[in-house]
Amino acid sequence: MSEHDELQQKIADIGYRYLQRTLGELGGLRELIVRVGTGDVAAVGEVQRLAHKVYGSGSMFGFETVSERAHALELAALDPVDESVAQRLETCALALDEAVRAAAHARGIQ
Amino acid sequence: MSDASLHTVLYVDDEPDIREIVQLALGLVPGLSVHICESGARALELLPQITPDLVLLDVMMPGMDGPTTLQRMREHPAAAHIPVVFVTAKAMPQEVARFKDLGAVAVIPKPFDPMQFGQQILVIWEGVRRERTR
Repeated sequence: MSEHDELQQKIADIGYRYLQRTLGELGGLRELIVRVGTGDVAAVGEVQRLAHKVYGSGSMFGFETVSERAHALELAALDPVDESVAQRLETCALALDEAVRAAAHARGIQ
Repeated sequence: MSDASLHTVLYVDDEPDIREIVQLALGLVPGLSVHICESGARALELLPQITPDLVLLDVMMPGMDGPTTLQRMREHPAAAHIPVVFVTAKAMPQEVARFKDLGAVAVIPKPFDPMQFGQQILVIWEGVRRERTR
């Protein structure tokens, strides 16, 4: 196996762990959005930071849809905060959740 | 004549998977010593010990973010001169301009290609070296 192929394989292995970790973070994301729904404006910033991280890292491991949907969530969190912010975030978070689970399922992660 | 090669880099990122990717990617660069840490605060502790030629900073980190870390480096005599590269998903032109105004020598957008990352760093270093000899 060439050095290049070895690196590609290691990246794929890290990507597997990345998906597992991101799956775990989805629960925290849901909790943040519940907090947003109770009027916790600071939680919007936390949603944005989490989404930003996934946006920047998802594509690194080949999870383009995960990255795109994280970006959509980040942009929703950057919009002006109004009474519909929690609903907007929830819609985007559900889409991200779906993408992460689909990617995980494709790789045999339960 | 001093050796102008890139010998040591420090990469700072709170994401463990990205740190691992960078360790692997930069490990392919012959002769390069790669140090990795998870936060701006930890980077400031390590800088006097490892004196890297180049520091690569994630922008959005909990606690001390990348720009604040750069600012703190500039306040520290031992680290003030070390060139800094931001590595970030925030890579719109206005953000890149802002990061360069803060003092970064370059901005690498995420996602980056791990297979090309080492070469990107070497190109940036060559630019830094040429600027120093002007």
